[in-house]
Amino acid sequence: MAMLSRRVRLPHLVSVKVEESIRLRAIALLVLWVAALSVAWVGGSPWAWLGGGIAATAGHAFSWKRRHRKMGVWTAIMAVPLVVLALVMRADILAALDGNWLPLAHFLLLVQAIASFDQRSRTGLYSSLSLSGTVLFFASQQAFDLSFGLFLLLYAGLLMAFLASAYVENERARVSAHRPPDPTTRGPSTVAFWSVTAAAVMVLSVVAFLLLPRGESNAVGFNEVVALPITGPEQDLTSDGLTLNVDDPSTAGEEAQEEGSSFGGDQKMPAGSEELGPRPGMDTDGSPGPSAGKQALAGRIISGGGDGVVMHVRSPVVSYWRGQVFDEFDDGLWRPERGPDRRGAATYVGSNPMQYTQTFFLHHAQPGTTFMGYHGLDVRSPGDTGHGAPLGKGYSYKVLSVQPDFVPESLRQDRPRLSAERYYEVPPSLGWMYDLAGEITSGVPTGFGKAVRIVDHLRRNGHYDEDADDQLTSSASQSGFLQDGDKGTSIDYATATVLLARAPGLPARLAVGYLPGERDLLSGAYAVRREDAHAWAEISFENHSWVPFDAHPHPDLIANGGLRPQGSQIASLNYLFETSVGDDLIRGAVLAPGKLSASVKDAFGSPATAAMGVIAVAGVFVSAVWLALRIARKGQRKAPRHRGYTRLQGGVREEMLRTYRRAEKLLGRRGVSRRATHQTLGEYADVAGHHAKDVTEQVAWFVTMARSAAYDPSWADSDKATGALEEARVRLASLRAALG
Amino acid sequence: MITLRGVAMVATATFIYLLARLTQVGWLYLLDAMVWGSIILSLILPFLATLSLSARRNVVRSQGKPGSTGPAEGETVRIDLALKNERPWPRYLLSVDYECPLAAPESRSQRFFVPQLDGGSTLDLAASVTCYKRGLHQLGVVTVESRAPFGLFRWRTRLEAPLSVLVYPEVHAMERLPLMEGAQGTAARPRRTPMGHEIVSSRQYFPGDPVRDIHWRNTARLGKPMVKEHEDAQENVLTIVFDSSRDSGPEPDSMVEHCIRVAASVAAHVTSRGGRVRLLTDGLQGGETTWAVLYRELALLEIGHGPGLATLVGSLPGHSPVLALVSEDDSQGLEALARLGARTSNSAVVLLEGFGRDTDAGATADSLRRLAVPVVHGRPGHLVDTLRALERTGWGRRTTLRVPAGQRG
Repeated sequence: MAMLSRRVRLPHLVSVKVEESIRLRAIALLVLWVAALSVAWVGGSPWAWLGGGIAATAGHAFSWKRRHRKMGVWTAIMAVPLVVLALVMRADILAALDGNWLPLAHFLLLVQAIASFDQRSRTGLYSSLSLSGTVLFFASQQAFDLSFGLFLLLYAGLLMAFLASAYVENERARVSAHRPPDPTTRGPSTVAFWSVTAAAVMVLSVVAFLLLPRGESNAVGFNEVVALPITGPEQDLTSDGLTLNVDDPSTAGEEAQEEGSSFGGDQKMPAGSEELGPRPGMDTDGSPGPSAGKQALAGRIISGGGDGVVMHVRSPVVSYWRGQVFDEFDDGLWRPERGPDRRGAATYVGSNPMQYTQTFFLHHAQPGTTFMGYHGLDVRSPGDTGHGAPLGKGYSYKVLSVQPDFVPESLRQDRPRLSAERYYEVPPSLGWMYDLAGEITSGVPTGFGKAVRIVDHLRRNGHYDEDADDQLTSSASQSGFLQDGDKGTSIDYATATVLLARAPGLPARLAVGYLPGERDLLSGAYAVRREDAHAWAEISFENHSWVPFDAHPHPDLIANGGLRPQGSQIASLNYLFETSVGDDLIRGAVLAPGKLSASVKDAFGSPATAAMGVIAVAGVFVSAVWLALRIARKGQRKAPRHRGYTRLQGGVREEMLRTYRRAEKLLGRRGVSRRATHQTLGEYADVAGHHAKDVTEQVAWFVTMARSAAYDPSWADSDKATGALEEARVRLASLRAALG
Repeated sequence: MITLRGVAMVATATFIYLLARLTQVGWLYLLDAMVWGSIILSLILPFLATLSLSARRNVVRSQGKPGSTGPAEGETVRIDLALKNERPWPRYLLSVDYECPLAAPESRSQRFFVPQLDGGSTLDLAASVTCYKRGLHQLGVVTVESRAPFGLFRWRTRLEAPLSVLVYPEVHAMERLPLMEGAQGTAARPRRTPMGHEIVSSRQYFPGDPVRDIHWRNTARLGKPMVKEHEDAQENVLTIVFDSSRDSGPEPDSMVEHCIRVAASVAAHVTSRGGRVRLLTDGLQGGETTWAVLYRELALLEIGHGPGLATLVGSLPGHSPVLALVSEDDSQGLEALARLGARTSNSAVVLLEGFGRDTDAGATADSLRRLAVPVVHGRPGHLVDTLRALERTGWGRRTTLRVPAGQRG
């Protein structure tokens, strides 16, 4: 490494020089402990963070003691546990691919612990700092609490302390002459300086934070895509360019012809009142059946009541997180879908088959269900990749989905179609829904148009039960909800949507899961709470698979990212994050050229302003050239030559300096005090020579030896150094005899 | 100017920013903001720290010989640098650096670290320097640099604090000089040359010679100014001659420097006993002068000009005592000295050996055989031995004194 360093002339980047500063080493160790504790904070394994921290502490102590010894074999020996660790933890390392970064953080902590046994150079300490930062980054992926900021603050503070200490120690090492100690350089004023520096860093950090562009105007990173259910004709999803239009009357005729021709086979043919399908269980007079009660979910897993975060979801696409689906509705009871899960989008062929992943971090056990955004393709879970595996608290898994394509124009061209009968069934007791559906969808030719009409009707005419504790518990019967104006929860809205869609022959089912939740910009994930439990309808389209429709008016859900601007701690932080001057500047810079060019064009209309413009441009050009020349000239100035430094390594150098210190101690017999920190070797020799004139030559020799051992770059020859060391021993004995 | 560490820090901050953009983890934005905050502070602070500073330097001698005019080679002097903060706010973490040509090449860079400099205050920074080599030395500009607080950016300001220091050649005390004892009788008795004594010869005019001594007839005959030499004057003036047109050997004990130190030591001894010395070398015209002037001329002597020793020796008068220092490879110089030896009986030669020149041993031996004057051998690092040998060297007989091997000067 040393040879490589010299060959490529990168001594500053790859320094193999032994680091003598115990302060820097201590800071690096503290940073490691901060990283370890951050891992513990997010639920890391104790044997990794505690064991890693303790082992690293022992390793630093060990390597500090042996820092001057040759470690060639030792380094090779330490490679073995590293390899073993990588083999043992290979499954954990691969778990990072599934969105679970914590095992990788464990691995890096243990790698650092092993490497600390051979931690000798400044470069090694920088590597340790970088690795600790990486561990902190992995931990931050699962840090959903504001208190994690403490670790971040500690890390940044220690990093700055390391840089400042390294800088000061470098400067002190380069000093060739010392001035007498000045009492004002220590104590309160120094503390004040570093306090003011820390405060200034904080203030400038706030400025930097405000200036950093974080919005959509950036070229780097992804732009958030919204894939929320269709909620009615007024929906305007501008962030995704999704603008839903009600069927255009001008094209309704043509679409009607296409639509009419598309319904066939075993599909029910809707045609006006006659177009409606059969009315199972409906009375001949069309009145509702006597058994119309409240709705319930059989085998319901998702609990909707109460407070608290159920899970965090990190996803580039905002979506409803679907957990269960129900297809059979009988006597007020929804039964879970049987047979193969059709939530996956294996058959989905959209116009935008872009794939994305979501990572779910569970804070409460969700046994028997796996949540996913639209349209889920595959689930990867650490330890168990099977769908429906019991996922307990603290688990995380990753879902691969196809980015949905809920563009109205595309959906309007598609046909609602599914072969299974159960998706069309309306209980006989609710036969009156055929009439209601007929009224709502009257004159609408397309399946998508009918669905939108139904959703819009429910949103306009339904009454939302805001006071309900659990949106998955029905508040009213369907007849009461649809006919008597009773308040309903999301399960009532979703049931009504499904049944009203089935009536005109649209294959529909009920989906249960969670709303997107609240975007926590600190962690970058959506915080999904119990109160976000929700039910909605899905209608199957031939080319778009299941498309969500939600008639429930949820005023706290904002289409763009699920952000709630008011009322929570996260929302306040989000407001802070959204305040970016940098974004405004970039936006302005993007818009400015057009406006500027117009202004310039206007200005150059007159000869006088044109001449002034030319002069101004020339002035700027000349200034730039002058500045460039000045900078270039400055660069050519010869840099001050710095003192060399010894290349002696290991015990010989240490032994020489120790011998010199013994000589210093011997001189104490003549009343010469040990060399003070402000004294150069030469100054000390002068003082010692004054007090002990008979041994001046001996003192001069020892001082020369110490200086050479410490600084002389020509002393790389170990034979020369060994010879000097032998002579030093002889001279030390002679000095001892001379001084009595 | 950004430092290497600053480049690494900016790269790190950019990387964290890109990572934050990709992952949308807000913690990374916060960390990145802190890193950028540190970078911004590092950009501002060094500029503020180096603004409006001034410096002043002077040399303080602590162990100089009483009455000596300036520091000599080997003498340790203290260079005080007074750094003044012209503004009311304090400065922190300053590096002060200047080149000190007085010191040996490996320790010329004088670098200080100033942790704090209070507002409006002056700080004295002292450096002990052992004068390495004679000459007029200009101390370099003082560079004040700050990379506070993290060493990411560097800002330098150059302060003019002009200081010239004339370092004189090293002088070693001599107990006696038989070369002059023959001429002076007793060394302690000063003798002056009375005007009007018998003229025994003439020699070339050197600046400083009295105008009344100009030998007009010989001047007219030879076409160059000549002066009369009186009997007493010849006996009382020691001429030291050496070749400074070319140098060799390792610094600081090169051949010419060796000659200068021998000349200075001999001249100091002679003048302290009332004798007079004339220095004849390339670039100097060799008039009789005072010790102070001669010492200064030796201090300022520049190497690399002049016709060479043979020419210089050729212009010497025939009867005055001469101490010649000649390189063993200077065959022409040796020839000239051989001719001089035939004319005078009170001369001595220091033969300079081991200064890294290729020598024809046979030619040197021949030349030495023809020299009819005492020869002392001078070697690098053996200045004191050369002087001790001169203390033992008498006149009129051929004596070769070798410096014992292993002795250090």
